[in-house]
Amino acid sequence: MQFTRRGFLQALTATAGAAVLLKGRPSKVGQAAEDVERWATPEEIFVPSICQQCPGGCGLLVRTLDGEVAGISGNPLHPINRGTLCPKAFGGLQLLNDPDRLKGPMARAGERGSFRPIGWDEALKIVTARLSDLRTKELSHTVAVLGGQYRGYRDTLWTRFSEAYGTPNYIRVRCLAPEKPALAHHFMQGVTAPVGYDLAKAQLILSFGVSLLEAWLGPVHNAQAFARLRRSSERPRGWFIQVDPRRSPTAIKADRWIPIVPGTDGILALGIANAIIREGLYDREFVEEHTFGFEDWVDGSGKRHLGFKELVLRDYGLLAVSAATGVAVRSILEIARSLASIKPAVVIGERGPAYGADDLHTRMAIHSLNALVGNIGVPGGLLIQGELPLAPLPVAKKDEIAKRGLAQPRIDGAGEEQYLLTADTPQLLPERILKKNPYPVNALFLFATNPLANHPAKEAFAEAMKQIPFIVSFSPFLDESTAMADLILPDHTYLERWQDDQVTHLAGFTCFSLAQPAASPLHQTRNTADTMLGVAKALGGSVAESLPWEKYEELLREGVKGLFQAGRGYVTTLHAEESLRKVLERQGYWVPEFKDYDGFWKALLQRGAWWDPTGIPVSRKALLKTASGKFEFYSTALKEVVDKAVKREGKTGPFFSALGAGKEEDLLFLPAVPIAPAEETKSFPLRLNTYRLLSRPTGGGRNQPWLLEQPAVHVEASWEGWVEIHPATAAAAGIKEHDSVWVESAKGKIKLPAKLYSGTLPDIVHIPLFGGEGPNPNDLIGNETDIFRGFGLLNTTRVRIRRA
Amino acid sequence: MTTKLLFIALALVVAFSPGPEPAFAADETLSLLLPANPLEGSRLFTGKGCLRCHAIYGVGGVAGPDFGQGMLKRSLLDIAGVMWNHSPGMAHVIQEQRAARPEFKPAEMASLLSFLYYVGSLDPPGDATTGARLFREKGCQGCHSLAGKGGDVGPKLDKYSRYASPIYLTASLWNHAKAMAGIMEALEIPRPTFERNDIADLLAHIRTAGGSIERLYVQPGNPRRGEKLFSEKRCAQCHSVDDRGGRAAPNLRMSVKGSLLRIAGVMWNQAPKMWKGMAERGIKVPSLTTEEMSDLVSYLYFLQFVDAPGNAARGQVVYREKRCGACHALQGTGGALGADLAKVEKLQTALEVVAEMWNHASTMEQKMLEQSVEWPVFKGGEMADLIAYLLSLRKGSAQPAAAKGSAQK
Repeated sequence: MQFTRRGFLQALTATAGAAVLLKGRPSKVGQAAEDVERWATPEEIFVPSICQQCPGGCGLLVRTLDGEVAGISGNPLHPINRGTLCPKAFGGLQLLNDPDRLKGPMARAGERGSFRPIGWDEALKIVTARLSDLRTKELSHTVAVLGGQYRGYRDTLWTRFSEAYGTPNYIRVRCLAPEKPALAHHFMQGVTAPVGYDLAKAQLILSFGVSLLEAWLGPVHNAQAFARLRRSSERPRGWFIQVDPRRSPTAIKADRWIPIVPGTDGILALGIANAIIREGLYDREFVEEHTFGFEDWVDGSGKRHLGFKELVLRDYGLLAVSAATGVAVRSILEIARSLASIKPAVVIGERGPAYGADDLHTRMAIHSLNALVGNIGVPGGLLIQGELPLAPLPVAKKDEIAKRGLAQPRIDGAGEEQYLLTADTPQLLPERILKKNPYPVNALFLFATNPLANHPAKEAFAEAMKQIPFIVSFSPFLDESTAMADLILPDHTYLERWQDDQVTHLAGFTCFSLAQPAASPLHQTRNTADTMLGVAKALGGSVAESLPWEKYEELLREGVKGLFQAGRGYVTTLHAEESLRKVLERQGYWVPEFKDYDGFWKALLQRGAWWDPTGIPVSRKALLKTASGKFEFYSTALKEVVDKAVKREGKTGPFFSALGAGKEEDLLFLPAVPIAPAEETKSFPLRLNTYRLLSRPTGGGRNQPWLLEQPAVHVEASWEGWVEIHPATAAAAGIKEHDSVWVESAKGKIKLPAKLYSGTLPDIVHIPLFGGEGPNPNDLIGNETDIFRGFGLLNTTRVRIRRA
Repeated sequence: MTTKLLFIALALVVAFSPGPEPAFAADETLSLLLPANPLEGSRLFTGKGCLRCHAIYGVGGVAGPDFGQGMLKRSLLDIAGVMWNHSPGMAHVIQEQRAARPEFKPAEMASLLSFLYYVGSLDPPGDATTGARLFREKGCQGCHSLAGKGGDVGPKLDKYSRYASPIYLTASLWNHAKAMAGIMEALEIPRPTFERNDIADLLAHIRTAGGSIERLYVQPGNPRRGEKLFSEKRCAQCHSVDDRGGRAAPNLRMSVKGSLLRIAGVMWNQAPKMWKGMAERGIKVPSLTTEEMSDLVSYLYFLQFVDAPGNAARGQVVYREKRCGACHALQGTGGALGADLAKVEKLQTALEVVAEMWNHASTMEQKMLEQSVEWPVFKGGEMADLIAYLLSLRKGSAQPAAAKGSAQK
């Protein structure tokens, strides 16, 4: 009998389904007739929860039968998704019932990779003893915490623990930080929170690679906003232009797809700016009143500086832009005219973690289009993000050991040298750990991350982790990184634990989701937040004082009180009632719904979310927080950072060298993206583009067969990864549909089935990110680092293909 | 004897000396009907499904009229009359929508009716463009700066951009009005007046230009507290409400018109006259917090919510003309299809009457159809008269609309 991978996964699906029905204990079936009777009329309760499969933060309603999870649907009250879900949400059932979940704490038994089960008391004693020992030896700073893609009070808890314990090394390993503004927005607008995009009210969306309908921030919200753009009874049908090397599902749904050479998005944006300025189509009122650095200008010392207008007219002529980007001059002109004439229009940009080596300036170039068409602080344009009025927690207490530990430099070098602007630089960690630079790492905590599978530097991470004497993983699964651990303290899955989510929403409103466990834990796992509160308590002293809560829900309850006391916003409720409240808010009235905090808390648990939508507009001034109070084409904030670095380190210092060596100085602070000469392509003639599918959750989702089965309709593929090749390129290499193909880079090679797809430029191949086991594009991607984000440059690797 | 004379003299002095002004006695009828929170009924409006058919400023259903246009700015019993008049039509739509017909307890009815009345107090949201024009035309920028532009005589107005409600602005305007008037006079600047939606438009402009992303709301004014303030702030020494209070200034029940902002605007516009009157009586110009301003103008707004006392004699005519007696008996005389209206225990107050009328309207319509009786329609004041008549048949005098503790909490 041949046992195929697909057959195995289908069998796994059936097994998981049976596990749901039979509570994982088949022997119960035959137990007694009363069980059958009970199952015939079970008690059905719907518990609001939060999907954690991606950063979208959709509200769930978990159907439970006699306290066991039996189904998932969308929470119709939740403001993020209003009852709608994408396929990923349903995978949560298989995540919960994965037969490979860890059943309880494990300790290393001999070689790394071998484990023995232990009890929670023993496990906590081990970790507390190790942490206590390091603290006693004044080595608290040698403990590193690697955290993945999460937010809210779990982040708060880890931050407080790190501060009180005394380590500066709480390092986030994620390519997306949705709660922070893009650096380009920070430098050009001075904002400290992400800007929102009023997609639903826009008449034109120009997207530079944003996978709007697949995997950008909140795909369900995006899809809803897109639907309103396209089908509104109150206004004409909106337009959507997608610039993308690949004809993705988003590009297919766009009114116009503009294929582009990867990494040249910024050049195209500047070409569009050139056309808009040359034809006099820009918003003169906005540019004159609310921007700085559009025209050439003279500083206080009399020095003349280049302005944005002169820059684009001088350096980004349409022929040169067309040659660099592969976009026809006529197309550039048409986009420019549409963008300037259809109002309101919004320009969005995001392709994977980074556009390439010129990521910051590419984003600045794209964002400058929003200013050119006066699209900031207007309906259908860029919005300000509100802030959640959570109650401030008492400041974490730091004893002398903690203070000395926190004074040590970070292991990853974030905020130093060329990484001056990064908050985390996980890309550098392996090298620094191996070199014990600036000091050895004595303990590593892995929370919600699996760098040995999902990080471009995974091989280096594997080597580095061998050097660390004590590794603790909180993963509910025995994944690649967890297999290297000395101690595993498995977390609940998200349907089993108290959790919160603080969604930074594209539409500009603030939202706080709260969920109690939908079901009792299936195994002897424990909410990591509770585990760390227990560890803090056991460590005692200022660590325990900084984390005084017995249980995570106590921390949540303390913070959430701020929402109750805020005098604004409300626990989500029926749409009609919310609409009426909005009318009253526009009049300046806010009507409290609850007399006391208990009532508020109970309603929040029953309905799932608090939010603060508002119909009251805020001014452009609120969105323009720069020193000049204007949108800065010429970023004085970036200049200030650079000037300070140069003053400290000189022009040969690492930051200046990485940012702007050899560049005309003004170009550092303007949205200038160099038009690079054609690359040498003999060895690796193709460029690799990776992308995320709608059906792939954060972290991979290999253990969710329902999602693996979700077809990628554009190439009729499912179950396993593939490589998309242009038919002409494939023919030249003698490759046919479904052939196994080696994709090789300077770093390594992987074997994938070929999918011939004409929706791409011929010299680009595309591989979806599947995560977990199996062929992994991270085996191909070089360990180049974006100096502004500290993460890998995923879309810059060159490859070649050959039939396997 | 001398002592006795002295005592008499002292007594005479006390008797003829000008004593303290009489306190403004709260009108029991009015006080009981004033809502503590006029927007509390909004929850009933949505919860009972009214919003499914009716909209408030465009939000809600379209089967019925939009109440955001001030169409229910009538007295309590007149609003109840409108509900009654349209009951058969509403029943039809409710049936079509397969929804349950909402029923109301007397207190709920009061809450709903005061909300519907209060909706008429809501002005359209301010318009920033109009506000910018007013800011120039009214000469505000001559003294105040906003977003770095304007004069420096008065304080910068950027800080007001945190406020979501124009009530903040009205309170501040009132409190600084006298000082501003002095400066304007000295600078020979004409004192501006505020009409219609001017204050909301000005705040919209301040919010747009000021740059704050904060939004400070107010809770709706509490008319009951406003009634107390009317006395405490000594407004009642000049103004009257019907026959209570001073006679020097207009009777506010008769003269106060318009929305909350219009009332606040009139306060500003009339301020110089008021200062003069206050000076003559040695009254210090009272300052008002934002909450106090909100409460006070809400109280003034609600003065017209309370019906003039119904006339039982006219009510008897209404009872006959509307053919109530075809089905109902009064003290044993009349039809037998419905209850004896003089004996039903839960018809002790006007609110109980209107709540019961609404709750039984569907049944009554059916009976009337069977009896070929035309659906009675109440015009302005008729409902109050009818209820006065019905309550007069009970022992004792007619009770105020919200007596028996059925007033809103």
